[in-house]
Amino acid sequence: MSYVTIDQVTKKYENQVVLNDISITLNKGEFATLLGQSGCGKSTLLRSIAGLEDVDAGRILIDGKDITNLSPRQREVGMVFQSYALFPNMNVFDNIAYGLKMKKVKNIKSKVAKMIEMVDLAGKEESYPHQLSGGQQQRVALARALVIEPKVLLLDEPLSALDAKIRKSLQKELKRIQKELNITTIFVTHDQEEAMTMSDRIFVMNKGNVVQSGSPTEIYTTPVNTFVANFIGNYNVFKMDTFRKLVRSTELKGDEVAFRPEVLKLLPIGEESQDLQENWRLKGIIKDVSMTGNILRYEVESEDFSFHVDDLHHRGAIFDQGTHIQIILPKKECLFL
Amino acid sequence: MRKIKKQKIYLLALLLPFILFVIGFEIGPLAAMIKNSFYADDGIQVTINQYLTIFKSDFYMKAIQNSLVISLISAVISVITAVIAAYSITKFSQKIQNRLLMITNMTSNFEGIPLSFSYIILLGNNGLFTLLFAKMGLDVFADFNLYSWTGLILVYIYFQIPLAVMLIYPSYQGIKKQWKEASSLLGGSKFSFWHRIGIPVLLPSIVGTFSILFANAMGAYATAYALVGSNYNLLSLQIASLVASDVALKPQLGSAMGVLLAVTMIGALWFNEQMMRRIRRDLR
Amino acid sequence: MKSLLSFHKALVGLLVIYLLIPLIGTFLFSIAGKWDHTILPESYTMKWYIELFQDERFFDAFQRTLFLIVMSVGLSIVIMLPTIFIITVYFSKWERLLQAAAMLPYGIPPIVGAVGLIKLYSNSLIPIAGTPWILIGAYFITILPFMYQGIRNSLRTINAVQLVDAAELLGATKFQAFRTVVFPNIISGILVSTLLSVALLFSEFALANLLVGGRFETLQIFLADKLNSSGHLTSAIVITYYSVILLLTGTVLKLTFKNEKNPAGKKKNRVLSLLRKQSRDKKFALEGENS
Repeated sequence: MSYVTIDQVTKKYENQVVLNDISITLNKGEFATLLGQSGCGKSTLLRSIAGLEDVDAGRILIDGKDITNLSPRQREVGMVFQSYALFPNMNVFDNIAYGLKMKKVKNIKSKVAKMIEMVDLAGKEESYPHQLSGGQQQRVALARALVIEPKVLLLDEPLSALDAKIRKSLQKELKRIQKELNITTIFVTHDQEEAMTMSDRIFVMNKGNVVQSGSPTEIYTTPVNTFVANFIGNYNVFKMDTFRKLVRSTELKGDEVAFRPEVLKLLPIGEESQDLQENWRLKGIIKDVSMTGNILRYEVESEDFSFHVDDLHHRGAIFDQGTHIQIILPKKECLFL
Repeated sequence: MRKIKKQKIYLLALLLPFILFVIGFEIGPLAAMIKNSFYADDGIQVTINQYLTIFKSDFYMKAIQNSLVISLISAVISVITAVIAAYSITKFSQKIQNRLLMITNMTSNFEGIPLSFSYIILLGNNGLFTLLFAKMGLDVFADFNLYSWTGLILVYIYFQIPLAVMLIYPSYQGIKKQWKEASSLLGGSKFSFWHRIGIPVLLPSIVGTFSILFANAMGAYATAYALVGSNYNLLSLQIASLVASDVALKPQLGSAMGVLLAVTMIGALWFNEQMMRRIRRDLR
Repeated sequence: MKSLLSFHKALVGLLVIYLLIPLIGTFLFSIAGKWDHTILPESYTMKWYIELFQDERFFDAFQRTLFLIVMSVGLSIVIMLPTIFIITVYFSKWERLLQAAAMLPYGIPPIVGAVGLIKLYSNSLIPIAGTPWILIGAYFITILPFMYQGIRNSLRTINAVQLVDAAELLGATKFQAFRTVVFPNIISGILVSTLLSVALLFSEFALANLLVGGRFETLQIFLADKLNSSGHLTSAIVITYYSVILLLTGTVLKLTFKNEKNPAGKKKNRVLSLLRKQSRDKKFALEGENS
């Protein structure tokens, strides 16, 4: 039984379709991510679920209840904004207590205290937002959204304003809290790595459509089209007729071929080892090499085609620019789209 | 959906007071003035004679000319003073700069009737300085008459300078120290820096400030009213006496002159806006 | 280098003296007893101030001015706050229109405004010609650019739209959201533009003189009337009036500095932003739309 249902939702701004007939269902406790570039409609979809945007057609249901025409305050959803949207005139305690006060709930103090404990902000109750770091502000925003016990938690790029380290630790913590409360969560991001680490399920969006949905592994290993392939994993994508020339094979079917940079292997000229039944072997030259910590990224040219190869950074095993090499491409790692 | 629509109507109702005020006291009067300027003195016949009257009348053309000349001269002198003074101000420590700006800021509020009064007691017929200088036998002020156009210009300059300094000063902050360093590293002299970089960067702001000061002087009424009453032929004073004096009311003619004044002002401010666009484009 | 600095010093010194002389002269005149042929007064007295503060006409004029200011500034806050809020949040496509309407008064000198108002309300069904009410309406428009910019910038600074979104999701009604999270956060921003508006209206003469004149004697009209009577007494009025203005602008400066010190505010050149807020009236055109 699905917990959140988005049923054929459409939204237009003037003549531009922002959400095109979108249907999504989520189970209770699921962590779902809407992934896409800016302008793909992911934030609009999230705001529609929150009731901050009207939809032109379709229905949105939470826990079996149609909320399409309810105002935001009646929807029982919690939301964390990209820029936190903390109330600057209230301290941490009052920010978190705000929703409870509006709903005239009892035991505000103990509920807020429990929340503050959970997001690890004990001792900061009296601080005002401008006295907190970005990460701390984000925790307050999260606590404020969660304390009213919403049915669904909506996160609108909540980590994108933070620097890399804090971001990583907050990702983990967010995930821990989400599991602990078993709260259905919809997370919006443009960062595929973040989506991969956090999600149970990813919905890749492009131009108002959901182009692919599935588990992170499914999305990463079997992108359904070149858009997803490009977006998710820096895939090398070739038109099929150029690829046929490259590997000198005429039997291949499909329009395009995609393979990830890390499935390729580079060998010095003359070294024989790979099975040619299962691999293609190409000759090429290193055009450029750059190092991103543990990964070496080569730009390799073979017969006027260039592509990326990622290799783990083994000590001393770097091919210099201009070196002639063999490129081994496993046939089974190629996706024919 | 219906609920949201209903709420919007409710919200629209809250906008009503604003709309009424804007129509009643902003758009309405402007429209009434423009319309009125196209009527004959009897208020019935539609005509462009009022405008023709202005352009044919030596008296009214002189009023426009006087206003233009006073505005131009006071604006030019104030801008030049401000360009130099603001530059000098930037040479002081930050603390003193703030103090100086506070003084300009405070004095920029000294204008209109009180300002005219101050000048009257200082430089008027029985003014402190006038008497003092006469006693000391200095002839410099013997020919000076505060209630003439030289007097007007003097007072106008006084209230224009603080404003000009405040408007120009920020653009000196836009000239980055690195530019000067880069220029001298590339072999430029101090003169060539100002000639090729400094002045061109300041220019839009100078021209913009000039047009604001010009508009400011064109529309000024209280200062002139207090100083020369209706003895001096200025556009703003003429308009006032045509629509609100005890003698010889000619509201249609006054409206036509009001339209001319408004067009001049809006033209000057539009020009300034164009200049500011340029500054923003250059600096980004 | 040294000689250059002394040149700057001399220049700025001259400028300061030039700017301060009329004020100092007027001040000395207001406390001078006998002062005919000397550089400084021969004797000092407070009698002009005593005389002034016993003058009922002065107090009446002061009260009338206060009444006009309180009414028009009060109306402006009460009307503009919801108007700007509603338009930015719910009818954003009308923002340009609102901005145009709010900024237009910059281009219209009071004298021109007066011409139109006199025409529109002479023999009109709405009998406000010659009464303080027409002046209140005119003043509402006069301070519109300030109030608009002050309120709009405050709303933008706190990102009011998102705060309201957040509050609504937490169960607040629109009105509650406005009252609890928008209003408390923009008071200081509005205070600055309010004080500037008050200072501006304190010195307003053109509209008052042309629209109502002696029928409702404001401070400025009283002053204009006194110009040709006792110089000492008038000096006392000018100084009293100017002290009020200084107090107002001084408060504005203080508030602006305080806001600048607020760590939530962005690190900007203090003086620059201070100037920007301070001389917003005439400076708008230079600043442009600021959008």
